[in-house]
Amino acid sequence: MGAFALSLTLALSLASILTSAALLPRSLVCANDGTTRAGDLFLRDNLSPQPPALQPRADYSLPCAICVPATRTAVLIRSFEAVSGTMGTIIYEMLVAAAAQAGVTLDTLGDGLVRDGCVNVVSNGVRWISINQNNHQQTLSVVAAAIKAVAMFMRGSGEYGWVTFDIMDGMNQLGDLKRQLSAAENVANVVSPTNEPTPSSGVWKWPLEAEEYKRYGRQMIMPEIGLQGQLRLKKATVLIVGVGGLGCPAAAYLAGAGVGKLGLIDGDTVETSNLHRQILHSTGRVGMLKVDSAIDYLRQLNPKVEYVPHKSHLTPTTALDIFKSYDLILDCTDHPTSRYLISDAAVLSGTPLVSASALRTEGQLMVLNNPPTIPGTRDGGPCYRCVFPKPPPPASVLSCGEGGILGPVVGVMGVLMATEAIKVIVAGLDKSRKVESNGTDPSMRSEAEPSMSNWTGQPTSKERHSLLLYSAYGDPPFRSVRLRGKRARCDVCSDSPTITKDSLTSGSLDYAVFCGIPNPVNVLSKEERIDPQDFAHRVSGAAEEHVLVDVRDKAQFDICHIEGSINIPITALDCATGDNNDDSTNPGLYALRDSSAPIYAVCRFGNDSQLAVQKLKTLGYGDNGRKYIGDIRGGLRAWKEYVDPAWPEY
Amino acid sequence: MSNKPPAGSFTLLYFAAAATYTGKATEPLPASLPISKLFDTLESQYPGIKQKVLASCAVTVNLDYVDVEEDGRASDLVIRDGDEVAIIPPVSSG
Repeated sequence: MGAFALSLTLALSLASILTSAALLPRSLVCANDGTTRAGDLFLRDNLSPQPPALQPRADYSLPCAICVPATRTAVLIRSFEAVSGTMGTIIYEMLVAAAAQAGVTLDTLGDGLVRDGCVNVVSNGVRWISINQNNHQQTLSVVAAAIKAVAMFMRGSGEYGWVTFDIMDGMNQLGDLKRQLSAAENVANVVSPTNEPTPSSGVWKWPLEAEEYKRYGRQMIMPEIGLQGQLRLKKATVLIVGVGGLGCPAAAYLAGAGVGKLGLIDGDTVETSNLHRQILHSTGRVGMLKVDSAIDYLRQLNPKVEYVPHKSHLTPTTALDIFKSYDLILDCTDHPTSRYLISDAAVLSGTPLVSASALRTEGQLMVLNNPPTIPGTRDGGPCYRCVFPKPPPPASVLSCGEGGILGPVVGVMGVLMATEAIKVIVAGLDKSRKVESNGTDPSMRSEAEPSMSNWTGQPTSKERHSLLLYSAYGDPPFRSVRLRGKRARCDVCSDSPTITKDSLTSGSLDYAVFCGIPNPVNVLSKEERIDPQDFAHRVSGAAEEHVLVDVRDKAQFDICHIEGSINIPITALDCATGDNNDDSTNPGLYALRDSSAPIYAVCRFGNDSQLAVQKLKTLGYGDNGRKYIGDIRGGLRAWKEYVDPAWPEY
Repeated sequence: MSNKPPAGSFTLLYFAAAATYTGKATEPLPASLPISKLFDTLESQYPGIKQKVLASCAVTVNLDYVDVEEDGRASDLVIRDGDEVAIIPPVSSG
């Protein structure tokens, strides 16, 4: 697949910063045959029907072309052929400053090597090369920064100059290229202070593209959103942590609504047991990284959004670095450790957080750190620790795999998260509270976002903070609880916090220790446990009279159970007192008392069965040691592995 | 759940792990009760619930978040006849 390339030349002068904008479509021969890499550089003179030879990197000169693999986009910016020496250095510095404002990372070594984001002063001007993975926002940022730098230079020097952009789109999507260029012109219009209206000979002059008016029209015509709301959505960057039951619907609606950039974090792969609720994934994508699967789906849904994959789980040392690129975080994870980590990092980075969870038939939803905390003050919304300062005991923490989850319940919570996210974005994010970890001056940041000058930035601290509870079987199914503000002694929000940026990034905070690690159940002696294959051998053909007690819940027992087993759920055993009342409430216990046969307990994974053996002995069913009571090691999962491959594991 | 509790009592709502532990979504308890005694009252009825569930829960009275204990000091709030008290454990899965 060959790459398309388009050139855009802007000539700038003091009188009229933007005097012309010409599109010069031109195909470049690119060697996507495996012999080239992103960043390889060729002399344009060498272009031929054959893949051009790689030039020594030290002696390239202008003009040049860049060849990129098919999945990448490259922007080559050349400017000021007439300037060099000191002038070149001035422009170089302006480019670097403008790029920093635009949030583009540059390698500023200027050592002559060609690499992603490299900017060099060369003998006859400045060359800036940026290569990214079809990251159109970045492409636009690069173009905008270059135009801005040129404009600043012209204003300061009163000279005439020009800048050329070569934009090569590796995805071979001409539509996207046109979009980039038209957007680049919009950027130029915004940046140029003496901008004169372009003659209206068919030139698009509206802030959104024609297709976007159609795509987003149904939400834009509502007064709650409007054009301003849509522009805010387009400008917004949102990070979704966890692409499961919550993250899938949340991502789908935010992509559909047209947020500018959507980052997805997850290190897991798609499993069949995910599919009843994780609606971006599909049967054909089992085994694929969830992030990749989700982005595949989302690109089909809305190719206009920039999707950023983060293909590993969030860690304390990387969280702040990732969060700094986003305006809003969605916690769609499934464990207390990640809930506290994400909340802490949101507070420390000055980023609002939408947090939700779901288990079985219930869900919870909160908008946290909104508006973001100003360090050293009690201003700002509560964080997760303010609401739940103590983590739940580890033994009580159930995953969806253990406790169960109804698909639409977690779906509702994910959709509500997207709703709250849209509300926060459209209301106007107060970016002045964003804690910059790269030292960028916030005032320069706002200058770099002139289109956002109409954002209200109104503090929303007078808004009530609430916790929404959803119980699918409740009456009423929804309850909204009023939360308090920040907790005075919160570990991260208080005046003297124990959790700081340093303690987080240094890795000295251990969230697993804070939340506790569930001890593996191992309470029985060797004699009290039997391997499933030994059990099968012992009882086959009714060689030994026995009672097999399945201690799973009734719902699980009804799905499948070993023939001849009886069901006494561990929850029923927990409540049993050992007297005759038990027998009346659970016929299974009566059968146990009445028999002298050995008792074997079994459960799903081999944990509850151990507790059941202990409890049965405590209740006196062991006849003071005269009757054997033991459990099947590894539970029904081991039963499938070692005895019955046809067992329907769920 | 929305039914009014009998006279002289308040309604307790159990969510998530609290509902699992008690086996109930809701129940009436005799009013009045100082909120500082709520957990002990429940512990006597459901042994083990304080440590296994309540310690990490949020508690609300009439849909307002309350601190049963803050900075080591017990709240002097009293639950009244007809109040609705919710026990809300943190749910983390999703």
